[in-house]
Amino acid sequence: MKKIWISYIIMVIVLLIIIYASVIVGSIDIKFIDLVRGIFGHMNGQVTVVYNLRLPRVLIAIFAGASLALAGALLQAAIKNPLADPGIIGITSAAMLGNVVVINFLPHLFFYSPVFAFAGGMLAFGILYLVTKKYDMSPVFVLLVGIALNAIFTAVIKVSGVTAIHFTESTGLSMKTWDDANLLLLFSTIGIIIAVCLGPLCNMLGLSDRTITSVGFPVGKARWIIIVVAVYLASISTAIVGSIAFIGLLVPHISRMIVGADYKVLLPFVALFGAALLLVADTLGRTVVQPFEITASVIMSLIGGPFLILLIRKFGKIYGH
Amino acid sequence: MDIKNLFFSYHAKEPFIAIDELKISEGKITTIIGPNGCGKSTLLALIAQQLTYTAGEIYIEQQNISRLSRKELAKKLAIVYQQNEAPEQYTIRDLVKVGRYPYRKGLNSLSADDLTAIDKAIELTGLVALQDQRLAELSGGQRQRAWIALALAQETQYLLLDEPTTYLDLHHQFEILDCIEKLNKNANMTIIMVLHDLNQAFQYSDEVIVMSKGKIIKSGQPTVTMSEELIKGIFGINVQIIEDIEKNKHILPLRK
Repeated sequence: MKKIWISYIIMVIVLLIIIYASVIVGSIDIKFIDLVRGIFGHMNGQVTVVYNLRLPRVLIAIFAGASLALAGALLQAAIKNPLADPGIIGITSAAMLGNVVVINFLPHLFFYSPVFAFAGGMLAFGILYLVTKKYDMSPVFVLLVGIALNAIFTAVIKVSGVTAIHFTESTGLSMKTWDDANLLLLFSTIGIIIAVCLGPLCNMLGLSDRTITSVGFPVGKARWIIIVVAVYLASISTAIVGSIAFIGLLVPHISRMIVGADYKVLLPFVALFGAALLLVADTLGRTVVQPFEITASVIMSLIGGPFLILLIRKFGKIYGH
Repeated sequence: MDIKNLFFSYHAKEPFIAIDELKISEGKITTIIGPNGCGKSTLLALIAQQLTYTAGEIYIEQQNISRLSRKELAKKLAIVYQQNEAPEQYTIRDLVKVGRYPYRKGLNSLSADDLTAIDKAIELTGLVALQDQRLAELSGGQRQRAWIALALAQETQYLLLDEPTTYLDLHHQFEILDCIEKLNKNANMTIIMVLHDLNQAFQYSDEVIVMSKGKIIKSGQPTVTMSEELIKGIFGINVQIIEDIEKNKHILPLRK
């Protein structure tokens, strides 16, 4: 118990430090106190830039990171697969497809693209649900159908890129404004709060289906709820920041190693860790090779790849395979 | 328990289970025996409503249990399988808590009744000293008892056990069977269990149901039902049934 509290406190402190550092450093260096003064009225030129560009970016990174990490944790609980990730299930690519549809065919609705992304994510989930419903959304089927959906949506995106209109994925957190930040904060906050409350449900799903059915637990319904929340969080994030690999996969795993597998305790920690990680990735990406930028997605892949290998090596021991 | 006209098949053409009528006495230990594939475990799963039967009714106290909600059923009937999994961090107490699900309002708070039932279940299975230990750290027999404790926390009248002793060593086998017998005697639970070991069936059952190819061949008191001819007919093995000094009967398989 004590270990868990200490881990939480450390995580919060780390997050605060990263926020502080992210706000200060960049292509424009400012002092934190100037920013605070700026928020409370005394703007000067540099602070305005930071306020308008960097601050939303920091907030987006925090909320998107938390959302994606939570989505991954929830999916892993729902389909009982430690390798589950919103990307694998096909949600990320479906959300991206939503974006593509708007940009290519309904450009006047560009500002509603998050809605379309969410619609895409829900479409993918809808297909997933209908196909796997009679198996009570059991892990193997969800994973297989998810992989198939992923392939389909990614292919459609690629095909649409072949047409006259060149679509570049809206990856990364650069050039995000307060509009984007507000949208994300508005939608993801409620999602994050709900997600964090799903701990007990996730814990029940850790037992075998036949055990929990025999005590009367509504397995299918519970899985459905958890997956919907996961899809929601992942779609919203993807709509604003595009596809960012590995957060949904890595953060829950590492968190489990630190605070254990009780979801009541794990989920809030995952949110904090995800926020911190994406923020670090984004800040590194824009400071390491100034004035160029490496997108957060690439940084995550650079970190995530080797980490995943490390994890798989350790993963074998943890799960006793 | 009254089972009528029960039909079930895994594949549309071949009926797997076909039972006209089966009565199981309350307050007794009833054991189902039969060769592999005869439908013993399937019958148990059908009674527990974990498989859906194509036709038939199962009544407990004149109530058709397929009409009950999952939670209501969970208060009447509990089932324990031979192999079970739980996440590694689960302690015995965590596991037994799960058995209270049908009675709880949310997934968070435990009422006084819940705690009483949990404590009682742990006591009945002799796990009081171990209740805060992780399942992974227990022996096979202890772990199986923990799963029985989960079922007991449901406070049901009926307890179904599917080959509870199959993966346990000799010592633990009898540990479990004695535990089950005590539950029947002390709490008057109706026990329905599937066993492979014919002698254990002999020693621990009030009634025996013999199945073959999805049908009930014979049922009744063990000494009357399990004859040398019946066993030869069902299992294809010659046996001799002997009586020891204390008038207990034992089945001895004879080599060809």
